Amino acid sequence: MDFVYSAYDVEKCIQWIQTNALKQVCLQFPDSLLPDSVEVALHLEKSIEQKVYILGDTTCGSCCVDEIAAQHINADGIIHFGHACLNPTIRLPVLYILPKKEFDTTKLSNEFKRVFSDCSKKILFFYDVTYAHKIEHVYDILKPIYKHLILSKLNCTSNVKYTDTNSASIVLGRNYTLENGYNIEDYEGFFLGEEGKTFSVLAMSIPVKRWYSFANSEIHEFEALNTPWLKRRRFLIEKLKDAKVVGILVATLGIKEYLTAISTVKRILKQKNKKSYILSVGKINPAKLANFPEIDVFVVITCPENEVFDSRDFLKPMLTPYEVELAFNSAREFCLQYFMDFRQILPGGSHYVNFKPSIDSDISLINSSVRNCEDDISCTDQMNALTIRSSGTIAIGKAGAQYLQERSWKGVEQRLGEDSVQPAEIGRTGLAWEYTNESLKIDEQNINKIE
Amino acid sequence: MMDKKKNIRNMSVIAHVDHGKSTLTDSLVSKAGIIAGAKAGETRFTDTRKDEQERCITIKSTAISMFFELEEKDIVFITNPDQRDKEEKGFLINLIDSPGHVDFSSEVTAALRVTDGALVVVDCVSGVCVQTETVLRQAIAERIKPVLFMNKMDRALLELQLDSEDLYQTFQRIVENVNVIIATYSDDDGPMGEVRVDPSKGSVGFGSGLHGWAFTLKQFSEMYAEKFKIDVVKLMNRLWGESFFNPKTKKWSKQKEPDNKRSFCMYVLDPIYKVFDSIMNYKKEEADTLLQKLGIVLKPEDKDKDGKALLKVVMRTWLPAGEALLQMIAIHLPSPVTAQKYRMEMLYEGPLDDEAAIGIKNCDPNGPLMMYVSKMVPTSDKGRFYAFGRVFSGKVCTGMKARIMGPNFQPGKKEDLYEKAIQRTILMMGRYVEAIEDVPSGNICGLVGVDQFLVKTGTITTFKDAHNMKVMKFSVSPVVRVAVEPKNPADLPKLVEGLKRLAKSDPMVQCIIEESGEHIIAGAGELHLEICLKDLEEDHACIPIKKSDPVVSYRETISEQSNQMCLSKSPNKHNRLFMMACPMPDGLAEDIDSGDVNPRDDFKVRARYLNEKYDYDVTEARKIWCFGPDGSGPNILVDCTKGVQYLNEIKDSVVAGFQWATKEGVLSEENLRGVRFNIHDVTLHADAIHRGGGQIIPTTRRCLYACLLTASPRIMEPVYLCEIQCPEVAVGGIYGVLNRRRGHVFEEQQVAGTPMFVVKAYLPVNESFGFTADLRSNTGGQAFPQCVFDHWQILPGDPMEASSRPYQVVQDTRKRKGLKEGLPDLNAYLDKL
Repeated sequence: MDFVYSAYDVEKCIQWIQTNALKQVCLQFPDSLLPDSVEVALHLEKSIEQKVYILGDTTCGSCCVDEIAAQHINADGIIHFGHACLNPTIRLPVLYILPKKEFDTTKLSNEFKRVFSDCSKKILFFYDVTYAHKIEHVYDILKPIYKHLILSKLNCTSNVKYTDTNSASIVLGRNYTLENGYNIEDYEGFFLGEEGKTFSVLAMSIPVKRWYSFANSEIHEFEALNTPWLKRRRFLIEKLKDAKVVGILVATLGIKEYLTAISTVKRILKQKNKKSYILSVGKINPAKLANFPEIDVFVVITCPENEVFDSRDFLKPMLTPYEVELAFNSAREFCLQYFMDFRQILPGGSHYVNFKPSIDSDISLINSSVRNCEDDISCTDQMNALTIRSSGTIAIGKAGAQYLQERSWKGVEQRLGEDSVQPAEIGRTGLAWEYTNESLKIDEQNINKIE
Repeated sequence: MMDKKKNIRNMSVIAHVDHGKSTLTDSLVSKAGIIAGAKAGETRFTDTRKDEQERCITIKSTAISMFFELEEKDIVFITNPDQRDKEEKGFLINLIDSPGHVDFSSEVTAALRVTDGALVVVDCVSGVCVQTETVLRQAIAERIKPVLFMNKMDRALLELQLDSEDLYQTFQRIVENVNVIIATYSDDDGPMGEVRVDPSKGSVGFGSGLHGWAFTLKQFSEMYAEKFKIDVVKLMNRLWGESFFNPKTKKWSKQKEPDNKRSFCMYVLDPIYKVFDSIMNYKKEEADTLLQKLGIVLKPEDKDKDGKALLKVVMRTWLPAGEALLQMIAIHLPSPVTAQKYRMEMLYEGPLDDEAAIGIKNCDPNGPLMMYVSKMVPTSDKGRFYAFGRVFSGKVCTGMKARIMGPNFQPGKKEDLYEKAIQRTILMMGRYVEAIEDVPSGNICGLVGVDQFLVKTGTITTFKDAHNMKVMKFSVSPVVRVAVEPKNPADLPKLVEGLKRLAKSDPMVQCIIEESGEHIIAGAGELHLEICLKDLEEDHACIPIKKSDPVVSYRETISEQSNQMCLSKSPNKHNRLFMMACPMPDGLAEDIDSGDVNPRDDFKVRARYLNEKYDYDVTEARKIWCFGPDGSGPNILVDCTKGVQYLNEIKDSVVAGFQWATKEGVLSEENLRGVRFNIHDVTLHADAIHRGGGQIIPTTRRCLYACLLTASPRIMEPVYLCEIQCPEVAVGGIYGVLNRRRGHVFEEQQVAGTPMFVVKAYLPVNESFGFTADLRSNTGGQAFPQCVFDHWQILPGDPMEASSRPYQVVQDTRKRKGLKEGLPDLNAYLDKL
């Protein structure tokens, strides 16, 4: 019981609820921590003498704060437990209870001194949220040695006060202030934590000179921009350029400015004559998305740490808003960085570029056909998708309607007289995973067939 | 001149590599006055690129338009009214010089499409070679009429010192060989009429491109006609074949007798031998009398020459190559009017009686415009191209608005169709271009301003309902691939831009981005790739490039039937698919590749074919749901179910899953090949909402993967057919090299009449890198291989066994694609009931 009390900083939760005078508080746990949730909730309820609610099974990902679920009970505050991506939210006050992982600070400082032997080096220091509670200590050791060491802060209100910040310019939930007169390219990045999703996203998005990470008591250099993952993205961007119908998949309802992101993507697609649909399917999985076979690619508006971008189980490619820009915005100059946080490329973001559609005709590198000619106007995004051709027949626009036309089964065929009349039979009963009348009969049939 | 369509000859020069096409072409170019006669044979005017000149090899086909006048006495030989305008002596010859190396045969294909006749050049020393046969076969298939030219007679005389009867036999054999090939792919009753070449008709030329002299029997019989008082045509017949003359009795005879001599040797070869003999052996006086006898008057500055130089001048003056070639071309090759009559049905996809078809058939300059663009030629302006092609009907003018239709265009649809103005029409003149106001039907020309709307080829028309002209069929396929990336990662956009330009500039090369994100250039062979990479680096992208080792693409297949019925359940467990996979019978995959069995066939016809040839059950064969990948690949999905409810509703979803799984196989996400999947049973949820695409598509993929894994999966690799020409002593070395590279010889024969051997072997593409160099070093540079992709073959070994070769291949591919290493787990795909 004491373990739960300290590991989840129940004391701090109570304090936070009381100082903010919150009435309806939700506790959000990732699946892995759900077993402890009841105990934490009970502790809290006992101390503050009001009911708290546990949110399980988040819609978009356990790293993100699930404001929508919390709004179901008109909550006025959320306490988020476990790993967090720290994307800014808008609706509710959030307290992050960051997990605490231990590591050997002396080993770190020794390794640090070994790798960065030059003390005048400019270093930008990042860390995984699980190490936040130790940062103050680490910083105190390193700062006297490295004059140009800059510590990044976490964009949140958390149980570790030291690293909290509430600055306006936030990238991937982090904030840092560079010394006057220097650019981000002058710095080297250091990440305290294992090489994982958080780190690779950071490494791609922040254009420092070189990246290092600390894991297993050793510091390694990390090649962020030459990964198979990034190469594959090029192929997917090419797919996007070829696509006719694009699904804008909304997989966050919490991250600040997600609505701007949706409308930006939608506007770009419209200007490029791509039919787009906005979809929200809750938690994304291959089965749900396979219900939209007429959509050629999906653009996913979500937390940068979402795993859909790594999965190969999806029928259609999953892209990020930045990739939409890469594909269609001719004003965007090619750079090696990859902006996973869509807020970086929205108006006001650090890497915003005005949209200018590319108009030159060009050749697809997937099926070697010509695409993108300025005259190639199709009536994809207009309601008058039916156009009359001179010969009097009706042509249907390129979008979804054509797909329907090409399907072999359209759903409203009567087939009158084509099927022979048969008496009704008793169907299956029971549970789907094994119907009662199924048993081993099919197995025998199979064996017969094989023989 | 371009309006006199009967006096136009569109022709290509085709041959095996190094048989002297470009050199011979020079003779004509010099006759047209474009280059000096003395330079002919050395300039290789049509080799316009620097690397072509340096390597002495033609890489790109080059077009040149030339104007000639034919003498009155020669004009009478043209009897067909469609072959000549009555009043006109001049002829416009549009000549395309093509590369001979097999790697560039796509250029030949493109050249053949826009021409009507072909000058087949054969080196009379090495005879009919592999590539001669290949290009000739292609020409016949395109309905291109050939004439034959025996080149390099100078070598036969000077180096080999063949006596005249032997030389005749050599010629005779070559003519026969060529005619055998022609006869195999066409027959005399065909629409083209007689295609065979015949020296006695004048459709075979002899000579030396390098020295600039050539003749046909017509030249010689003209010389003798007066002497013998025989008609030229009759004499030509007597000068070839089993026709002997006895100088003593002055009698002609049909057989060899002790004191008669073959007329060809006596009247044609002997004078040439004498000239050679007297000049090369410095018999000055004899030579002088000979020259007088032959009526050759040398220019004063040439009189001091001796030896080879003198020989050249004498021969060139006596038997100018340009003249002989011109006559062969003008008399024996068809005009567009003649040719388009029989070529139309081969060229046009649409109905054979619509306006466009009739326009093509009649070569009608007033008909609707029909032009086929066969290739793109780079301009001096970077990134822009001339669209090079032939006007088959109508007239193309500067500034006119036309419909530009790419190969994917279908009548009535808008895909791959653009309506644009043609900025300029031009004539291609080897190294130069000339702007021209308009080009009527029957001519070859270039267009400016349509390159943005076409990738490699296309049809340009003014006729609203026109169909496409048929796309060209290449004899080689791009199987050698390298991945490229810029040395400096920031140059990536330039690389991509360069790749797009490269894709345009070459009829064959494929520039694609793979699933893994690698930029791949695929070419027909190592040399082809080398040239493409060089062009990419120097001309198109202009950045330093890193290239990977050649990558071979593999195919996944199976070797047995699935050892169990494979069941996969949908995510909601309500739908079940029962399927099995079995290998296709030998030959079916190839039939699908070649289009003999294809998704557009009538299903009943297809079923009958499959039943007769492959013993497929007719009812099952009628229920082939689809082909894949990409709707046309060599794998099929067959519905073997009986009475399954709602099955038609999920067909689209199953097909989508099938396309997905055949595109990305289970082992290493390579394409599948030669797999037949049978759907044996399906259980579906009664409620439509629970059997939508979301449930069925991923499940189909899982089920197909399970089928593959239970059917002893195998890896297939591409194999070259490799023909190697070499002298007998080198044959041993060839076997050694082939053995080391897993190749095997299946045919070895001597080329009749020569000391050369031709060895035919199969060689895995994977083992072919550096093969040419290896072969040369092992045979003292005497063996010359030509490799063409032939078939796919199973790489022996089980990819599921960790120590096997296919396993290594699978792992390497997975690594390259950024997939998890290891093998796929059957349990992830197979469900239990």
